[in-house]
Amino acid sequence: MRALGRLFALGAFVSLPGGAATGQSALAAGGLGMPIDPVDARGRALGSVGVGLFGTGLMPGDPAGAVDLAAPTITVTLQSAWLELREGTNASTVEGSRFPALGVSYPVSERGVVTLTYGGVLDQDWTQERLDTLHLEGDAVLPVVDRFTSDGGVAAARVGYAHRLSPRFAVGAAVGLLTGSSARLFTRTFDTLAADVDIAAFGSSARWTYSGTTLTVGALADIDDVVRIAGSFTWFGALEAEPGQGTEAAARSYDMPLEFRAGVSGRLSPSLSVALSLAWADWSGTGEDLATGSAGSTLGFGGGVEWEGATLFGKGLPLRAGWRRSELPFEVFGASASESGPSLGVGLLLLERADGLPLARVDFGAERGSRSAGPVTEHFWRSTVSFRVAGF
Amino acid sequence: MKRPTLPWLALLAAATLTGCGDESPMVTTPLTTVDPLTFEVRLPWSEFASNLRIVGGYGRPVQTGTALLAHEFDDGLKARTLLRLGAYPTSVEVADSLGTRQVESDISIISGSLWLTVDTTETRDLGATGVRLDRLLEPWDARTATWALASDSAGVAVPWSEPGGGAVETLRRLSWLPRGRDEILIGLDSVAIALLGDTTVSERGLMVSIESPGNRLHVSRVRMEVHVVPGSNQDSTLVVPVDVADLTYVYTPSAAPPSDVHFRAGGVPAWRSLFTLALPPSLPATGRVCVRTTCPVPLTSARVNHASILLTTRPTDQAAFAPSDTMGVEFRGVLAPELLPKSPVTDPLFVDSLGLPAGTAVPAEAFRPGGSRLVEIPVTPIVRSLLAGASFRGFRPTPTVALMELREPTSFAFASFVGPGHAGEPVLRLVLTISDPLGLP
Repeated sequence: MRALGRLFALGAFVSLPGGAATGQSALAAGGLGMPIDPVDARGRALGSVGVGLFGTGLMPGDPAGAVDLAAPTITVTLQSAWLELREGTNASTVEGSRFPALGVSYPVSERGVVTLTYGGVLDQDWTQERLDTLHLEGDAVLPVVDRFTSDGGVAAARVGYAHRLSPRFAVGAAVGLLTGSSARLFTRTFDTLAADVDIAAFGSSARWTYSGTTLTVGALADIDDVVRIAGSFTWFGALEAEPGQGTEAAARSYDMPLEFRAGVSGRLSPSLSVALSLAWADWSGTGEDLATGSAGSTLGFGGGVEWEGATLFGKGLPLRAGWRRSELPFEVFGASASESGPSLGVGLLLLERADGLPLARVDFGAERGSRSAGPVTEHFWRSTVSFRVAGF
Repeated sequence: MKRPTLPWLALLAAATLTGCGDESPMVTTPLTTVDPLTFEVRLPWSEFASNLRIVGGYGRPVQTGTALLAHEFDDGLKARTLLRLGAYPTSVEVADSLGTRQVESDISIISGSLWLTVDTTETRDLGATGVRLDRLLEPWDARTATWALASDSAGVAVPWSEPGGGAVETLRRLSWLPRGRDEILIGLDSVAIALLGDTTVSERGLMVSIESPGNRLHVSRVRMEVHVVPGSNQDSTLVVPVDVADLTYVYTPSAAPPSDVHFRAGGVPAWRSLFTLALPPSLPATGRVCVRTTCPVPLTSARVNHASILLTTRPTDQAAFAPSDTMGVEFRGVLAPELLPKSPVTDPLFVDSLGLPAGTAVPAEAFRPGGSRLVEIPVTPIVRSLLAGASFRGFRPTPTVALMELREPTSFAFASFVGPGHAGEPVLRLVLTISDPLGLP
């Protein structure tokens, strides 16, 4: 058990961002960015793409999953990634981190729980750099560096309600607002040594703020504590992008997809369970609103196993393993892309109430995966840590 | 909560709180349609400037901290170095037989040495050069002395009784062989030292001149030392430095007034070339530029990456004032043209890593016959601020600019550049970038 404890501590430590970062994929440059799955560390470890796990959860895409949180609860999920990026013969490494989800719940009745969540929807952090040469009068060749940076993304703040209709069936709904912003900066830097004079860089910047609405409804059914089936639909209103002060570009509006998520968990023994899930979304309407590039429907699926027989300091120490695959909605580098890979994870129940409600719990998930599009290939390690405190 | 859980929660809380950053993965494959176009436009003088005038009188020789010696150089230039010594030491520190240092006030000054560090690169006659040291016998003011005037302050001009230093008493004559040496040593005996020691006498001063024709020596440093014998140990002679309180030079003839035809910068007192920028609202362009934007191209501050004025060097009108070393020149904005010639100018447009003005260096050869070349002097901040109508780094937009020597007054010599209306007239070089506005995909 001490070894497991050390392993867990190591996992938590490596989740600390090694370098300041937010961007986790160069493929976020396609379309409106890279979707961020609303999945916590336990779900990541189990290869889940959204819903249908045993127990309770407080995640933006699963409003019914909070139904059994019988005490006030706060959940925070942090994600870090280490990216090996290859582009032709060039290779680089990037360390990045995200703050994918924050959730608060409060039980308002024996059967009802109000939730408030905030989480990322689209990641738009990326940088493109290009070396070029110019021919000016008098200067044979003038090297320049063009750098195009995008910083920002779309997030959603949701308020929801989960209600248990019967011991076996529960429903939930959450309504929210899309928020966020995007700042784009283009700079052209001149090689002043080649020019013999100091030529100032050219710069152009623009900024937009995002707004929109979203609604998620979901339901789950438990069959004799042996099987759980769950599903959710998420509807997005149009994503409105309003240009900021000084931005010449016009306002934009993007159709957003209808997302469907479904999952099932089954208990094979008192300490061993399996989980399968899938997610589907049609981004083709968004693609029609893009000035460049295209988008289509995406399918994600995954599954995993959880063994709850281990303990640490007398506390439960569930061990998890899984695998998942997700398609990316936006064409990038002229090609579609997907990511897939295995995952491992561990959890630690630090404190629980007499009735079995977790009062303090931490989960850690690690994923190894890859994705590619056109000339770009990325291999990544991604760690996700969630911790939950309840009953305060 | 039980104790063992606390470290875990603290660790994860720290992980959460430090979980935000701002580095992005970077690729080089083109992802976007952003494709700016950078191009260059050159405008002749008549399309960007007017009203050239040359103004002189900035600074005095005493401000340079250097001096000049010349005799019948080129057009008959004569230059003499004037200096005034500080007070002699009244005591010295000596060590007794035990090595203990004590202050000794009983001293005798028996002689002295005057050292002049000179630049010999302009010395045409590498043979023996006659050097003369005189004691000035007339009151003089180091700040305002010229070849003709001993002083010119508070509106009262007092001429020398004889131009070039007035009446003098010659202390030393010597022959200096410049070959391989860059210092002139003039020894002073006890009589001369005594004559120069009274700091209450206003005419106190020394004049150094050279008597061999055809030479011009730039004196970069002057130092004086006296030889002191302490009363307690008359077998010892100590060398004690003496301050050079004032150092300047007088010369004749003065540089001829310019004709406002060609640019001039530098000299002591310094010249400046002033003109008015009149930037066009748009620029002529053809070809690929007009494919990307409307032509003529509107000239805006954001589009200007670089602006400079291309000047062609020319031989200095008076050979005696031709530069002997690399000259640094720069453009600055004239903040109050209505107050010219006493208008303040802007801070340097460009500074180096030490915060010192960074101008354009022009080699001396460029101002000699056959050495003409094109020199590019940046004015980007001035052009940008003019187009933007906003201040830049603390100075207001001004259309009047001045070509001047870096850190003027520095050099006795001045730089000359071809003026408007002549082959090689000034040209405004602009490097511009145009780009479509950034948009979302």
